[in-house]
Amino acid sequence: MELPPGIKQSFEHEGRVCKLKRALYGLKQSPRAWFGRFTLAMKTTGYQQSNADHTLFVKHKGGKVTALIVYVDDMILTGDDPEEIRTL
Amino acid sequence: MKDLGQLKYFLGIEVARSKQGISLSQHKYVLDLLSETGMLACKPVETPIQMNHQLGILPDQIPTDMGRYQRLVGKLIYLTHTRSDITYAVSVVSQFIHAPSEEHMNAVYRILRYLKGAPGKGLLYVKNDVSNIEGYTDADWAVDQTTRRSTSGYLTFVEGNLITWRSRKQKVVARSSAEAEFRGMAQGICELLWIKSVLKDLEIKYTNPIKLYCDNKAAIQIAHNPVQHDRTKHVEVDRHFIKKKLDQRIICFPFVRSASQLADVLTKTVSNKDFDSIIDKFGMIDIYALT
Repeated sequence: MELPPGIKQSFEHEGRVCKLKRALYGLKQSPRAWFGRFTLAMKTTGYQQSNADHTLFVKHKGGKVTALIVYVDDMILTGDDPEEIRTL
Repeated sequence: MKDLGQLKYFLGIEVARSKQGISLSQHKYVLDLLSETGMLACKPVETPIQMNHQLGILPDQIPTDMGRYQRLVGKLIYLTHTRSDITYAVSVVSQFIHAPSEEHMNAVYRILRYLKGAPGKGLLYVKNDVSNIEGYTDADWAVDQTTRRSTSGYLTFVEGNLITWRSRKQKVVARSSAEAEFRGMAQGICELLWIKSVLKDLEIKYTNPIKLYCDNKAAIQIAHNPVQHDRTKHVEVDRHFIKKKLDQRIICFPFVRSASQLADVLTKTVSNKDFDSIIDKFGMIDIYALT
């Protein structure tokens, strides 16, 4: 990994490394970190992650159902609760 | 997040709604593929693969451009997401990607010529009164000329609409057609159980046992037979798995005559006439065809 421009001056000595505290673009861990964060966000809005397919999130409210499915950065949102779909 | 409105295009799959139902197709993808390969003006054929083809890897075969072959097959594999009609043909040609010959390349071109016949063909999902999950399995015994492994395939329907399908060469050598079929049944059950669990998460439940249609009486017999038979004692794991699901009344195996066996097109070559009538039953239509 290369240091972003502007940071280089503050590292006076060669051979230093940076410890990342958060995810960063282009790292091989970032997609997973993104998905983990996404899952958390969905769960706090009342969606449940399906066990049969981990990219499927389902919310049941008042006998109605809303489903969200993710593929990389594309999503499909569907269901029979227009209000829920509008507010998400 | 941006709302892109009603679903129209997703990962190269076109979604169209009409009074009839919702259709999924890869029309543009097919046309792009045909123009890229210079096949837009080719003469169409009726079926994606030649009847009783004897494709295999031969010692004296004429090699072809491997990179090109692999790219084409890869594109065809992506196309099987909506084209259940070419699934078997694609699974055959993808068995030779490590050593493709001219003959294999011709088989790929034949698939392209078939696609030219109906580039907009896709799946139609219709609302109806059917309320169940069903499956079909079939196997073709010892077809692989070099390894004698069998091919099996399954199709699954939810409320009368085709959801998933697969055609694959089995991992082990089956000693009889019943055994090949039996292993295929175990595969089909796994898929049906998965669909059942997805639907359960959506709070859609079916109480009746799932029907898995099979055209091999011997395989059905083996599934029901509680005794460890002399000729089936080597297929232990699948047998216990199937037996357990039967006992729990999760699944049942009605017999289906070979003539109405829809999974045939996933495991073997069939005649033009049979091919068309089976594909119709898949609920496949070409919404771009002039009517």
